[in-house]
Amino acid sequence: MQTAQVTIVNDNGLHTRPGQKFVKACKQFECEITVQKGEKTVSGKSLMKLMGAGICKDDTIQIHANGVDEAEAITYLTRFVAELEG
Amino acid sequence: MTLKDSLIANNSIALQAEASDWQAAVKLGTDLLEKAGVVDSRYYGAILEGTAKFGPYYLLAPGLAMPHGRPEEGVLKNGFALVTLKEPVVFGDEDNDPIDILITLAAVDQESHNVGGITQVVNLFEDEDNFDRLRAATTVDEVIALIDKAEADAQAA
Repeated sequence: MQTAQVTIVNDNGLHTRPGQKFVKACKQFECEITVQKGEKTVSGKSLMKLMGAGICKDDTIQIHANGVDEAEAITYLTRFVAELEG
Repeated sequence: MTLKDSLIANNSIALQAEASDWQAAVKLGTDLLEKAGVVDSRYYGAILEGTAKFGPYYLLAPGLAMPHGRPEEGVLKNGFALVTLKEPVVFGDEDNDPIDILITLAAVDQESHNVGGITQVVNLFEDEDNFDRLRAATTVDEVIALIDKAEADAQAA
């Protein structure tokens, strides 16, 4: 398993429009991807679960990836979140 | 305002409704909200425009859509509508199509959108059997009982 810590920079956080982009990005990878905010950990591949975690601007989250392409997933998603707009 | 209180106060539940396409399905929900004075007539058009621009960004899970626009696109107050369809419709998203449950959301600001509305919707579907229970529901009382139970479970967790 690999983990990266990232801070949310876009105004709306991981909600609907940007959240959906993040979910689509996660679904490109085969590995299991979870997103952790505080004590709450949810699947990165479900928009509903992700929105339930309530991830907003300036929140720091951990992205965990576990599986064959975990290294690529972490590299890609870390950059994806840092460049997210909306 | 909670999901349950909003649905009751606005009389905004339609069960086993019929819609020929996704636009008609979205309109069922926005019409309920418009009738209740939650949104004005711009809201439906705004959701269609948003969908044309960004794709159906509000499909939360297989079978489930949460159509909504921005606060400034005709939202008068916070509210929800809940629509289930007799026959599902297709939004053009292979991960989540076909859709037969729509929870239309109107929120006056980002805070209400993020914190209030969505948590309750997520709680309702935390138990995956609730998708089928909701599809099968034919009375408002059945829907309210499902929401009550989901909220009780969420508090106990």
